[in-house]
Order: sequence, then C-alpha cells, then structure tokens
Amino acid sequence: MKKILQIALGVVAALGGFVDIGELVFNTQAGAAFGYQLLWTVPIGVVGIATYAEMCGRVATITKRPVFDVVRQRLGFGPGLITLIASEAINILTVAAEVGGIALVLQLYFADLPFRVLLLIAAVAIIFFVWVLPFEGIERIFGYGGLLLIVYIVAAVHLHPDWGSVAGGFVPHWQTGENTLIYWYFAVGVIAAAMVPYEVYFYSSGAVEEGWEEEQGDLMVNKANAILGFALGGVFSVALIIVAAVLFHPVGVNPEFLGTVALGSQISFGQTGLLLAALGMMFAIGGAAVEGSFAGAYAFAQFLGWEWGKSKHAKHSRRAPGFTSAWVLLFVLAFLIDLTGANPVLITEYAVVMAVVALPLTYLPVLLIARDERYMGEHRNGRLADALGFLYLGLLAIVSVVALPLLFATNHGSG
Amino acid sequence: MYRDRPLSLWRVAILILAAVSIASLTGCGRLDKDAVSTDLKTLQSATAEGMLVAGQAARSRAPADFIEIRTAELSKQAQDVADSFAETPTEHGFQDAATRGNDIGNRASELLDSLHSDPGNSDLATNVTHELQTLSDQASAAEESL
Repeated sequence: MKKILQIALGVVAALGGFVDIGELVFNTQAGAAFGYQLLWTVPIGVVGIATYAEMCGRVATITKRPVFDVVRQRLGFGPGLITLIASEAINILTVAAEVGGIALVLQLYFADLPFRVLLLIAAVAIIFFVWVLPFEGIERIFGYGGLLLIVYIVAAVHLHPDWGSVAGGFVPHWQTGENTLIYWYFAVGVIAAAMVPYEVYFYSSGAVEEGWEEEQGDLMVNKANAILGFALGGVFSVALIIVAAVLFHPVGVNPEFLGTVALGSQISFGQTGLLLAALGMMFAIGGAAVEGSFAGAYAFAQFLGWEWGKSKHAKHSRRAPGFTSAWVLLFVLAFLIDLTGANPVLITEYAVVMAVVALPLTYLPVLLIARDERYMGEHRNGRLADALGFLYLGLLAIVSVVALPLLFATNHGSG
Repeated sequence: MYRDRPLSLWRVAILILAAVSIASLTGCGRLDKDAVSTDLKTLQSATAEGMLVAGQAARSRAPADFIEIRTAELSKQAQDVADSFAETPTEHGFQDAATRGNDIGNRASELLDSLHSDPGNSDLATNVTHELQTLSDQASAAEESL
C-alpha cells in the first residue's frame, strides 16, 4: 500500500512538473498557428522523454550514477566538457526564461509594479523556497501546484472542439504550402520542449538523492513515474494546443506573450480561470526554474567530482558547498540576463531550440550504459527500450541538425 | 605555403565587405514583400488579441490589472509595427500596404491605450472590441492583397 502511494505521489509530481514555460509557449503557438495539425508531435515528444527518463532512472537506481557522471565516463573528458559547456549555457538560458516567466505571471495581477521589481521578487522567492525546503518538498510542492493547469484540460473540453479534427491531428502528416518551414519549426519546438535535457539530469540525480534501491521495488516506481507521469503530462500539452486552436487560430492570433496563454483559460472560465491558470503557471514555471538550476548544479558538480545534493544528509553536514553555490550562481546569472530587458518568451524559444542541439550528446551515453550488461546486469535494456532508444537517437540527430536553421529561417516562427 | 594563409584571410574579408556593400546598395534596409507581410500579420494578431481582451473587459470578466498589462503589451506591439512602416521605405509596389499598415497600427495602439487607461469602462471596451475587429479584418485584407 505504501509503495502504491509512493508511486501515485511520484506520478502526480511528474505530471505537475512536466509543463514549463517552453511547453506553454510552443504548444500554444503551435495550436494558434496550425489548429490541431501539430497534435501528432506531442506523443512523439512524450514517448521520447518517457523512454530516456526511464533509462536514466534505471541506470541511477542500479549503478547509483546520475546522467552527467555517465556522460563523462562514456564520452571521456573532452567531449564531456563540450557537453557540460553546452548544457550549462542552455541551463542558464532556461532558468532565465523561467524566472522571467514567473515575473510575467506576477505582472498579470500586479501591473503597476515595475517589471524589474517583479523579476527580483521571483528570483528571491525561488531561492528562498529552494534554500529552506527539503528535496522531496520542492519536488512535491511545485509538482502538485502545477496540477492547477488542469484548468486547461477542462477548458479544452468546455470549448467543444471538433473531436474528429482533434483525432485527425494525431495522424502525422507533411505540411505543404507557404508555411511549411514554420510548421516544421513548431513541430521541432513541441518535440524539443518535451525532451529538454535538464529534465533527465534532474530526474536521475533526484533518483540518487532519494536513494532509490532495486531491492525496495524502486525500479517499478521509476517505470511508473516515467511512463505514467510524462504520458499524463502530455495531456496538458494536448489541452494547450486544443485551447489555442479553438480560441486563437480562427481569429489569427500569434501568441508572443505569456499573457496570451493565460487568456485562453480566462476566456473559458473568467476570473476563476485566470487565477487557476496564473497559479498553475507560477508553480509549473517555478518548478522548472528549480529543476533547471539544479540540473546545472548537478552537471557541474558531477563533472568536477564534487559532493552534490540537496538531501538531508548533504545539507546537514554542509558537504556540498560547491553544489549549493552553483545553483545560487545560476539563479543570479539568470536574473542578470533578465535584467537586460530580453523578452523571456524569446529566451525560451532560443533555449528550447538550442537544447535540441545538445540532446544527442546527452542521450547517447545514457543509451549505451542502459544497454550494457556489465553495468546493468539483468536490468539492461529490453528489446523495446533498445528499439525506442535508437529510434529516438536517430530522430534527435536529424532534429538537432535542422533546429537552428529553422529558428533563423522562420524568424523564430514569426514568418 | 604558409604565406598563403594571411592572403586567404584578406580575400575572405574583402569578399564579406563587398557582399555587405552590395547588399546595402541594392535594397537592404527596405521592407520587401516578406517583411511587409510579416508586419501586417503581426498587426492582425495584435488587433485580434486586443479584440478578445477588450471583449472580456466589456463583460467585466477579467481583473483590471490583467486588462491593463495585456492592452499595454499589445499597444506597444501595434505601435512598433506602425513606426516600422513609417520609418522604413518599402520596395516598389508595397508602399500602399505600408501606409495602410501604418494607419491600422496607429489607430489600434490608440484604442488599446484608451482601454489601458480606463480598464473598467464597459462601454468603451465594447466600442474598442468592435473597432479592433474591423482593424483586424483590414490588416488581414491588406496582407492577402500583397
């Protein structure tokens, strides 16, 4: 019974934590620009992240080694360092986008306060919560709070979409015509937003932090979290696309503000809808900011062989000062980027697309270790995990080549 | 063998300089069809979203802060496009569309600013909704006529 409860809590946290500013922006833009046509990209992204998150969690449980440890060991120092630099650049951009996103959400209710003040409040509040809360508390509070975004699922049903067209959107198809490049830009964006590397860095390091053990049945917890949590999280993405397709696509709105995402819920349910959406976004984006900063600190500390972790043991014995300094520094750098006046939505788009380029470097060593019997013993990849792993690695290789040209050719989707 | 290397770098630099010079003399800095189209689509989007926001204000379904910040952002977006049309010359054949875009952007920005200043005024919001709808249709028609 206790194990079932643990699984349920983990799934709920993963579900609430799935959505970040990248998901909110790309899914809403995709629905507004192409109606239901890009729905097929959501399951592709979800199966990809579930496949690799499950592998990362399994590797962490069996070998007690998180992703970046594995990356350095399998790729060696040079390529590992390149992966580290690329990952840290993306993590800083991601955290900047998320902190800016929290400030944008606050602005919906505190329009009179200067944006820089809201940025400061957002950054200080997040650092405070991360400092005082234990790892499980951070994971649960932000994950559960993010569940308020269920308002978009209710809105998607409430708006009575044409379910036949919705179903048709799940069939992959080739877009032709003048918007072809923009179509593929958003296809890449939706898939990439679901598969950003910081999610697996955080997930696998979290497994080590929480002390997952094979003997305690944690492999089952891992499988349930990765498959159910991310799959159900994909429902949020689908809902965001449907809401945008119904409300924004027919009138030609091209969402360039986070406020437009909130407008979808506000039109559906008035002030209550706006409040639920704003709170849900704040928790979801806040959770992603924490995950991004921790992912950066984990990667840095694990690459350099420092003590790392937010667990009770590491905190009480003050054994991880480098790790703690690293995540605080990431927030400070992110805050400074936001202070330059850069648009957080634009930073998000660049962060997601640039993350795509680093994806194969992140996932290849994970796949190699997860299928290696010397490390994993009887828990090495089965045929399905292997097939999906290689399939997605091939897909990511293609996507990583076309992502940046698409970003610039389409003027980040604006045409 | 090694003496060739600086020469090649010089050649590359001269080629880049020449390309930049030619580009600047042959229409770069002017709005071409794609740029005019993109700007008109941005206007159409801003006016359409403004219409949705104003519609919510007209029915008193959203808090004043929300209306204020959304109208401010959309007004700035519309004004930026209007300024771009006013300040940047277009390539031959697109001046009429640019002039139309400038008018639409200025008027949209004006309407959104008025709602920004008085977000609780339902009558004003209703009028703004209708006028932004018209401007959105005009921006769409101007874009399709290119």
